[in-house]
Amino acid sequence: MTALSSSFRGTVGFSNRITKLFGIDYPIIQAGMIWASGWKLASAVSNAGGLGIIGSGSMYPDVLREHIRKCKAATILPFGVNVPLLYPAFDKHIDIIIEEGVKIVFTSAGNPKTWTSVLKEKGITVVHVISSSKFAKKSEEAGCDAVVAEGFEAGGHNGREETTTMVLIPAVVEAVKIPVIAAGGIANGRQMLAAMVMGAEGVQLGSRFVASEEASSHINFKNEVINSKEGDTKLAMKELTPVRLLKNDFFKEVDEAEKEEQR
Amino acid sequence: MFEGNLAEGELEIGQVSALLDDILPAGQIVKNVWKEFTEGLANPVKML
Repeated sequence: MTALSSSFRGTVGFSNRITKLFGIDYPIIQAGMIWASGWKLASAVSNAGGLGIIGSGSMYPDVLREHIRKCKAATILPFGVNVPLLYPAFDKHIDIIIEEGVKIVFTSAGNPKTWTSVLKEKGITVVHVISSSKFAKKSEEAGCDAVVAEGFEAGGHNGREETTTMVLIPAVVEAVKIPVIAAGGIANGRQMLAAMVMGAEGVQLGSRFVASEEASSHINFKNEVINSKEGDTKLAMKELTPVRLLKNDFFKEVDEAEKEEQR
Repeated sequence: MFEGNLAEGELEIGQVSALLDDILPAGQIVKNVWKEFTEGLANPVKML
């Protein structure tokens, strides 16, 4: 019997390192996204058996505290908080996370070495989001419990190597012994299966959960998301920090400005 | 993204948005993904 079939004891009997690590039914994680993932989305995902994550990047510290408390009131099941390590005053977020007894933290960008030990000393499960096997190894060395390997298809901040999920997952699975969560371009069960056939032990979904009732994004944005077609997203601000976003007037302005600089 | 004005500002989203055509309850999304995953496990590849 393969490891997968021996763990698979029926619809809710599935278990692997990721479900055990977080105490969840399904190794399906909802990405913590700025502006989109507050307590409503996170608690809805956790209540359904996945792992919801509050995206703290766009929140003032007291707003984050409120979301954590409301999330605890809305679900008894595990949820996490995402902390991008490049936004100002994120150390205040970390203080609040510790004070409020959050048990799971996903860090992204920045150096995992700095904060992983601080969080782990408090008994917090730490997962770092990376886009290269080099940073996956650094995360493992820093003591992270798992990594999210996020491919170039993903929205938001991207890695400079531009490695797609198809290439990244096998590379990271090979590079580290800790469990790998695949992200970037995943929105359905067949893609999840593909990622796990490649060796990932869980998946993280972003865009799919933006197009949800509970996401805190404006309805106009949600409609843009479901109306978008292949080719509608593009990388912007490559020289500073690459960010994938829908082409709109802002994108066109940035694009024009970049072209102007190159003349 | 928060305020609704789509012409200004940044709309961060992934390429997979091209595959999405409905707004669903988040719990339903989790159920749908898991169901499709288990069905895929049972019948993973197209064969003759």
